[in-house]
Amino acid sequence: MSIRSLTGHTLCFLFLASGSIIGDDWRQFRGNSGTGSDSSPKTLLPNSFTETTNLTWKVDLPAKGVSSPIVVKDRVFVTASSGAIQDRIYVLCFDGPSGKQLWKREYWATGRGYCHPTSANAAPTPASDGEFIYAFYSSNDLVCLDLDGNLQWFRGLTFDYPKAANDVGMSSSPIVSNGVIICQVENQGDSFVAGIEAATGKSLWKVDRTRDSNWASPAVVKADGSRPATVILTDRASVIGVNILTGEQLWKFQGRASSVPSTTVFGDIAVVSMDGTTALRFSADSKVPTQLWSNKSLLSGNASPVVHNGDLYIMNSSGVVSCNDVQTGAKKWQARTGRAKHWATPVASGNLMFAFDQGGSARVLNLNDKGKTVHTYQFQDQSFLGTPAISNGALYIRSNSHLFRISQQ
Amino acid sequence: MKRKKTASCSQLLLMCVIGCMILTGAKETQGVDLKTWIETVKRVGPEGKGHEAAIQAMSMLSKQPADSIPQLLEGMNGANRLAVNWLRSAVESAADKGNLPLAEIKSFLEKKDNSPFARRLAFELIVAASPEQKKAMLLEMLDDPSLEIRRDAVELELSKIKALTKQSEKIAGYRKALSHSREIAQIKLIADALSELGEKVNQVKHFGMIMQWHVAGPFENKNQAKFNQAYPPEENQDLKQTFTGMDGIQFGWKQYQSSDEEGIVDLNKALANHKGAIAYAYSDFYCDNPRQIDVRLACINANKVWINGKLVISNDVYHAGMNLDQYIAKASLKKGANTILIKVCQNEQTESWAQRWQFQIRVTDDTGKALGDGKQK
Repeated sequence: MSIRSLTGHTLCFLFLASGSIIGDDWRQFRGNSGTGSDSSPKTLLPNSFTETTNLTWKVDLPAKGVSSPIVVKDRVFVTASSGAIQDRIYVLCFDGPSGKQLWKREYWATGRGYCHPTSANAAPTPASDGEFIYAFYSSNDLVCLDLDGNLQWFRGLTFDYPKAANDVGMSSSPIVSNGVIICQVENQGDSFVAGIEAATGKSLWKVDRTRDSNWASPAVVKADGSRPATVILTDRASVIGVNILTGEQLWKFQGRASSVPSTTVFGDIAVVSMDGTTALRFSADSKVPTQLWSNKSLLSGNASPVVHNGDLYIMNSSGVVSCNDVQTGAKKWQARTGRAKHWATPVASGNLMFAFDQGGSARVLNLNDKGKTVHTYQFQDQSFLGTPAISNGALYIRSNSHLFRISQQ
Repeated sequence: MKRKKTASCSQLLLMCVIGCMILTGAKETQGVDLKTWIETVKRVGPEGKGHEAAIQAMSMLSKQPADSIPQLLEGMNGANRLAVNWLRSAVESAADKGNLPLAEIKSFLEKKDNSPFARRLAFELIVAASPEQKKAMLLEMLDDPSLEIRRDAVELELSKIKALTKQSEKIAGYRKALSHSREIAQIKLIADALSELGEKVNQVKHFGMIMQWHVAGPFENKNQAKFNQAYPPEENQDLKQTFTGMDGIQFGWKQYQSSDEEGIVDLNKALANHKGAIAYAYSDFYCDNPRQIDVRLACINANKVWINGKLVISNDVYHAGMNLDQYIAKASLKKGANTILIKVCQNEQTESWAQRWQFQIRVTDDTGKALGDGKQK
């Protein structure tokens, strides 16, 4: 480890461990909090936009991808993949305000890039600890770069677990916390979750998982008292918690869980797409959470639950968004967003929710008016499968071919 | 995060070298140390092996100017797939600094025994710096050992056909492109284009699909539990043998020839639509001389493949996609008859998309060029 890298990783770990403010970054799938919420925006997002209004810039992407952009220090990072068997993988960096491409890095996938035509090898959203980018792919390639595009290390997990593949494509997004990168690689072959040391890329621990396809991403509940930081993992039949530093299983609840939407952690509550929707409550010093509530009729589609300003938003497979009390699961209202297929999780900022669908439509809902649609716009020849990112008064959304920045003009 | 407190001798030596470099300035002994750093990176392996030393070496490689690129490309020769990517990043960081030594990079590209990955990267660097050179280079690269370069060269051939007006010239152009193409998607596009011109491409022959089989089944596979159960066909392939399979069904080996245009062997047709079942398919492949081959399988079901009794492919995966050349393995053929045995396991899923029980298999050289039909007798 170079002095610079060591210092960077160490400072970053200390920075996160101390719970410092991390500004307006959007460092992972569904933002820093993992809730899909930009709860206290300094600059409001526009409640309407087209390709000529409130669209700050639009840039071509060299290849496809269904991962979300992330934003670190006003730099936007996007992954992509190309080739008939999706064997070329990319990390791209753009300047947030201008859209200028700052750098591009390409690699040859070392695992299987096969996936359904609507997906891509670049399906998992990258994660960052504020100093480094951790880009993960369906081919199990894991790349660590600094913010200037200098490679720190490259792992190909398929070298270690050669049967870890799903030819429909895997999409679980990694998270980085406490100096550990969590990669959930669940499929019918070598199925596992790995804790990788962020500083070196070396494996710290591995948990064997059910040999079944699963696209959900891990979530983390912060340490509190004697309770260690806990990774929450779902598969089709259970939700478990493991110690992020050791991989030790701390608890397990059985139930019928969905294999696509991911767990959302809001403070000491984890919202899990199991038996409809189930909320677990954590308390200081106790390793094992208790069930707060469970609601069989609250079913997520492909989108993950969103928690914004204390409310829980669930989008079902018909594109209906419901607003629920996160403490009780009681429904407050519901609104339809359109019938097109939603793979992207909606994001919320201020009193607005932004939903993008596979057919290229964008909708803005007013959360202060029972989810009333206040704006719709159909992008031409675009398909949105990745969740948007919000940072510094701008919303970034990537399509199958472009990256857009939407902000007040 | 706990960090490793001890370092190997080589890591300590490398740290000393890097420490000296920082103190004395990197450029003075760049040639010597560039080689050391490259070799250090080339030692990375699975499970993060060699990472501590490689990360230190990489921090120096990322600082190198563009004139280090030829040496970095050379370093990719003999590197494993992980190290290739580390070194690629070092090349890209160097290239970002500008002033590429294009003549040396081109010279590297022209040596076809250099690593296909490194040559492809050299090609991309030249094209990025001098896009006007792309066409002239590709015109000479239809048989390039780098399949990525070859694909682009075929693309150029295809673009030239668009300007042609005579049907016979178009057909000749597509035929030429087809003979050089190795990428499945590109081959299918060319075949479609020829089909539109009234020229049928025998894709089974072009891809070298094995169509003649003896099949036996169903053996029992309830709860997907028999993937590793060695039923009698795994012991020997006596084509006169009879078996008692699942639910007491009596059967023997049965001849089956696929007539599918893409070479799919559909076991639901060859046998019957069984669930929780296993079938074996057996064939032989004749070879004039011993040689190394690629066995290229596509299969929607759990599968195993043996060549001359040696297990070369094994995938306990059900209904997670089927793509041509989905599973590729190296194998050795001997002179004369060689045996191919495939085990195809079906589970008990009831969804309509989970009824497929089928495979495609071909034998090729390492570029994907078919070795014919094995002169099956």
